[in-house]
Amino acid sequence: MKYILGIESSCDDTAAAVVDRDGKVLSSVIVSQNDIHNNFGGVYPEFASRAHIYNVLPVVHQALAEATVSKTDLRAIGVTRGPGLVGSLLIGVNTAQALGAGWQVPVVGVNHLRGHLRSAELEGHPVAYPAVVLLVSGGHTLLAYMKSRFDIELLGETRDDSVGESFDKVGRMLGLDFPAGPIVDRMAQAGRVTVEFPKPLLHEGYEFSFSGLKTSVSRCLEAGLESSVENLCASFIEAIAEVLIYKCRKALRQTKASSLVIVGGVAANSQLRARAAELCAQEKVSLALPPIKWSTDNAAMIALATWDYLDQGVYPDLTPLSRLPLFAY
Amino acid sequence: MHHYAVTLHDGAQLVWTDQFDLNDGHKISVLSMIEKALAHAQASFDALTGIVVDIGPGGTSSVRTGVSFANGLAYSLDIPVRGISSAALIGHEVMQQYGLPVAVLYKSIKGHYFCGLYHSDGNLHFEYQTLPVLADRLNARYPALVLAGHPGGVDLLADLLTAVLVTKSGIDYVDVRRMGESLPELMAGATKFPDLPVPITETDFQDS
Repeated sequence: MKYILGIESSCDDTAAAVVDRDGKVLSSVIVSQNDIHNNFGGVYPEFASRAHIYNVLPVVHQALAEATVSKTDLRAIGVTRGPGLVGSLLIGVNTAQALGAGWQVPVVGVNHLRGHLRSAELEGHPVAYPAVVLLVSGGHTLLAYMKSRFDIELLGETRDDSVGESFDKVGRMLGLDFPAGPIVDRMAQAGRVTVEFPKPLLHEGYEFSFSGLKTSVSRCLEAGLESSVENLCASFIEAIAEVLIYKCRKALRQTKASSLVIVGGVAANSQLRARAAELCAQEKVSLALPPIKWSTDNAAMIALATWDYLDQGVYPDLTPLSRLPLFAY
Repeated sequence: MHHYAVTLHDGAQLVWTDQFDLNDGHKISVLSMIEKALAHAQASFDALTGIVVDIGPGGTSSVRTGVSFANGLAYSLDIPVRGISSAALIGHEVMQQYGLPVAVLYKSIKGHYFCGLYHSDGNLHFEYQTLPVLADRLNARYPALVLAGHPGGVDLLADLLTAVLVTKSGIDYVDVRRMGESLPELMAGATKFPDLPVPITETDFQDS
């Protein structure tokens, strides 16, 4: 029994993966719902939950087939129990519980955030601990200190919007498709910084706030201060990257960490990746950036994190939770 | 609607029924209910040969919990699963008592109701409407109807059905014992992965 089947359904992607103890990914299948939610400019929870019902078993079936493993090869099933949309989570959790009952395999409820933190180590890329971890996605923005893969301390998180949410909201203002992150990134590369947007909470601890920045972009548009979408995108990303990198630098110096890990969907942003590389070179620490396919929601990271739960003998309650702090299992 | 139930049939007879009213504040899991049923029968999961699951309409989370669990269990055991609307089960029961077409009501959102219309041939047809629109349609179509389902909705609809001879059945949820007794015949339409049941939701009736 060498493998974990991971199942992820916390938001709008239905995913399943088979991963071994070393993080080798035998299969990873993701069905995106972007086409469903595009018209709403964000994730519509009712439709997300319904789509998971259609997708979850075909995705599990394909993941097992591609990995060429059977139920007897499974050490456990790891499933996201939160945080996330409860209607979406309960499809994954109930499916996992049923599969576990039928196959007589243990089922482990996994904290989605812990999955993201471990995503940088998939496919044999061990992180040098202690590490400062920046998680930036559509649902989360936080900075954490990881002494080891079990010992996690939250340094700070967003007080309002996540970074990914800000990208989507600004994208909607600019008439861009959902999810806006990759499009804003692409447009920014063709533009230049012409507007100095505020850099929220820059000098205030490790907390973040991005709702004001979004409002500033809106006001800039209304006032007609910049007509180039490319320049607006470049200016917006500059403000965000400045805040994120400044706080990472501060955390690296304060904790004396050996590495910086950046995970979550926004870790795919090209400017953030470039600025993080500069920072780590200056601070002489290693940088762990997962490939873009492991930055966004996926089940491989959930499967890898499941090994930690097994090693610690932790089997959390399987009730889906919309909110779950980083330090919780 | 507001009940969680598990029944176990051994092919010859009903061996277990268990039911919880969610309004009583029960926190239950489908897994624990099935484990209890199997323990009573001194059987394991791999003794199951088929599953019947309620596909709604009803509480969104409740129905999805039941359907996703049933589908996952059927997949893992490689056994067939049959999805059936509780409106068909209630309609069948009421039809046997009254011998008349049955309208089974479920309260939905924004003043809308699901109305499952069950006929003597076993055919079930759904309408998804506000009660005034639904009443207009039923007044024009049926000389007599038996109402079942959501009690408040039944009372309101009965007042609006001025051209229909109305009987209130007083039945607002599936009789778990009757459902259990029907399991063998219900399994006739069961299918295996990838042809699995999905819940009935209001989005299925947006144009009705």
